[in-house]
Amino acid sequence: MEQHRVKWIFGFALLLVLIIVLFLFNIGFGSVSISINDIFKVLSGNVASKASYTSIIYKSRLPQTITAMLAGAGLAVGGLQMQTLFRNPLAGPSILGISSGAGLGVALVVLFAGNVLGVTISGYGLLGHMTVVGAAFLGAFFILMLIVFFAQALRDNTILLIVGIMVGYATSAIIGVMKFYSPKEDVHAYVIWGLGSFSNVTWEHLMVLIPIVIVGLLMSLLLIKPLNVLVLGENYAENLGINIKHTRLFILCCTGILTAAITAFCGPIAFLGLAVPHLTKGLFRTSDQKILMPAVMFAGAVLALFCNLIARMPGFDGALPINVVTGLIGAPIVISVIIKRFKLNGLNG
Amino acid sequence: MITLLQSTDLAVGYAQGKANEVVLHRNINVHLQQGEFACLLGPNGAGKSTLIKTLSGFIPRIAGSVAVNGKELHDYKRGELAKIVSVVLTEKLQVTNMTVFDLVALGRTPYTDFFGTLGKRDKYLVLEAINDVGLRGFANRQLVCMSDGERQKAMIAKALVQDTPLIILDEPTAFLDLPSKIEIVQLLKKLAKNKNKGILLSTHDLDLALQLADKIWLLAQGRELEAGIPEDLVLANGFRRFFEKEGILFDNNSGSFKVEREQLKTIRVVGIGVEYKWLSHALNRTGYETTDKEGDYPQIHVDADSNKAYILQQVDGSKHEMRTIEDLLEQIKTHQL
Repeated sequence: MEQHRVKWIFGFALLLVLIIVLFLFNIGFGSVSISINDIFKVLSGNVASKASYTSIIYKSRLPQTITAMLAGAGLAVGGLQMQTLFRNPLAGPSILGISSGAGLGVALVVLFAGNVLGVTISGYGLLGHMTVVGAAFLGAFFILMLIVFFAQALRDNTILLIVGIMVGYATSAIIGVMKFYSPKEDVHAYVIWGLGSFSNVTWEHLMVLIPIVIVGLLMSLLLIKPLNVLVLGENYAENLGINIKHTRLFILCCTGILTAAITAFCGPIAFLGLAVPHLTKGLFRTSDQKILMPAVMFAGAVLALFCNLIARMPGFDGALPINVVTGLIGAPIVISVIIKRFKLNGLNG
Repeated sequence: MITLLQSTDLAVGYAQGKANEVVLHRNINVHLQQGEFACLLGPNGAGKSTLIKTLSGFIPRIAGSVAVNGKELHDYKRGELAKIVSVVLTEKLQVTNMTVFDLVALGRTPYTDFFGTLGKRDKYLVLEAINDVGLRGFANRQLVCMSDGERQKAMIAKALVQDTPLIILDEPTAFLDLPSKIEIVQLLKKLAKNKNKGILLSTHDLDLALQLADKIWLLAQGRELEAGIPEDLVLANGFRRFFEKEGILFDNNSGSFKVEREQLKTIRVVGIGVEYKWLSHALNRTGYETTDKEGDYPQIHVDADSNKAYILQQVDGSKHEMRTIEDLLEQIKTHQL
């Protein structure tokens, strides 16, 4: 037990250092590089060597960095919950079609409104962006309610998972129809949204996003005990006194709210939620949610900051969408997980 | 003896709404006592699982009552029930990064605080249970690095730390090899006695149940459950009635199944000891009836004491001496006896 504790403390210390370093890198690097002295000066309210630094940091890089951390932590926690609930290593926060729901909301305002009502939302600046966020959140929430409805009717988790995936497919199909009948510019605007971004989130948005994500993360801490027992499967969990139906609804709502809010503001961020729990388990070598839950939050923030940094590396100049980066990092992780699993199963015959 | 579990006119089955009730068994009247190890036996599809699920509180009963410690099972709250009945199931657990200690510790869930923190006493109980099931020194072993049998033992340790008077196991040995099966059933018998628990095991392993169970509950489709001690059930032809199918016979003498074969020719076998027994076995298996009476048929003399030989004497008087039963069978085949 003691040797584990040392490993866990080391793991958390490592993640914390990475968060701080990556946080500073995210603020400092970009098309304009800002020295660490200037970063500290600006963040502590003093005057930096160039007046423009204050504006760059406060208006653009700081909200973007905070958004990346929140999104990474929130999606990773959602991924851990889905993987534990469905006992499936390939589940992620978007597995139940919630981010497709957000996509549907966005498609309705960007494609449908542009097409039928003759309004181009993307031309309305901030107001237009708020409409998109609102629509995405409503769409995600609608799908979440649908899933909750099915969750109450269905006892079996596997069937619920299949229903969720099917709902996602159906939603994507509706979006496909709308895309097909929409003008190029609108489809392009939708595709851009679909590639995800941490940079469209302003302080006004953050005032909404921060409390929602914090509530979601706190909720997930309440789920530590039932999630630990759910590792054994529903039957054992029920025999140990866990109320499966309530727990499942609570988990779905927790993941659902986190995913809905984050997807609404940042677009559908792929892979983070799926990959981070695996990375974390690899680092901490435990199945105890008391360790995993906070560790996954930290690791999620780290990976999101890292992806955001790469997306903004000098030379790319923000041209690389976040989903391209998460995909490129996420895909190798998923592959290595599958291979590792395969080896383990082979070991047992 | 204190009765832990008592069912009265219990009916079990599945109900999907009031209209679609599927009743598998009615009038189940059984009881399980403290320190008693009972085995529920029955062919596949007999409804063993449904009965087990009803008795462990997973599914509601259709009619009648199940009393545990004098109180109706389905009146217990979820949290209380977790301290009354613990279960071990068939399902194989594949969890990476989980040690035996972690798994067994989950059995303390009904007793731990909001975050599931283990106290000193919890940790002591977990280690004690790991030792009790014979996994001493395995506490920090990863589950994925253990055999199926060891993993089921860990699940039994989980049931032990759950500290319930009743432990119900639903075919926990189904996918285990024979030695592991024997080990688990022996372990359960020992635990029932030493820890004074009521243990109910559903299984297919008739021989093991006959040898180790205090009580046997027999269940088959379309029949009422019969319970009793193994010997009484054999003498009352219980096993014959519940298990015999065309071509399969239950031998009340040996307490095992025999496959019915056409046995056309007779061979006299003379001798004693284990060689005699297995020679008869081999002859029966290849389609000969064996007898010890003299008559107009070939005879085999088992020379068990000195040089361990099988002497075949044909009707015409010619003799052959063989060292192994295989050679003997070969000889019989070539002479077309």
